[in-house]
Amino acid sequence: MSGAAPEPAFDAVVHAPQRLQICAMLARGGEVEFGVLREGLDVSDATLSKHLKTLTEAGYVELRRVQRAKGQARTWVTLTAAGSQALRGHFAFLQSLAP
Amino acid sequence: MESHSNDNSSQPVDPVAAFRVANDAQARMAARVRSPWWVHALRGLLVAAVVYGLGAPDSTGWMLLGVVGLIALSRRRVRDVGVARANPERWRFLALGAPWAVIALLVMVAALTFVVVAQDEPLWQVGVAAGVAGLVTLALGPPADASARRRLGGELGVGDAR
Repeated sequence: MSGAAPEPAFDAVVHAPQRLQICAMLARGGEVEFGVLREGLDVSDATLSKHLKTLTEAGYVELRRVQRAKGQARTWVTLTAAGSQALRGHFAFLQSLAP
Repeated sequence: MESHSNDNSSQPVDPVAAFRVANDAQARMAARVRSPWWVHALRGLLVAAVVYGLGAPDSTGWMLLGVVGLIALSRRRVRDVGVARANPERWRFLALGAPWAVIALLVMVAALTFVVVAQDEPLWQVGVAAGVAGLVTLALGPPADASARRRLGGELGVGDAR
């Protein structure tokens, strides 16, 4: 974790409530499995995939697909450095508005 | 019931609501860091096997069983929990489970050191060292999980984004 105070900056990608939840879970949990995120947000696979696609395209998260012996694959999600920076800036922005 | 996609980035900014939804999601994630009783019991037995295997003569098999078992148990726990920072294979779990995880590790290291340094001790002393290490591991597993849940589910702040 960087010791410097982040610059408050509104981030439209992170601001959407479900993407904010995804980023917050990843910031605290490190690498988190797709199913955990889905249960945490209480959304469908398709909805979560859509949000992860948006975050991936912004360079905020990385996906790691692990093939299991039984044929099922699990996807692990991590926040990138750019994602951490964007989230910290967005949190700072929110705190600057907080009453 | 599943909620629908909420992709509206242009909605008004409500910092209190934003922190609340993020905190709620983290609390649900943190609640997963809870192993069943048999995982703690098995981990205690495997730690005892490692200590006994290192100290007792002609018992390399016990040590191998303990090491392989601990690795397999850790991998299974990560799959079940789905949160890699709760992964006992990583040193991060010590910080999350502190102070209980740290105490359990120190007791195990002390037991291993004892059986290595005092090589001529009777077999019963090796057994006692192994038993103590195993029992401490078993007993401190649930409170270490509780500490990890508290840290993962704690209130958010600016510094939480790493």
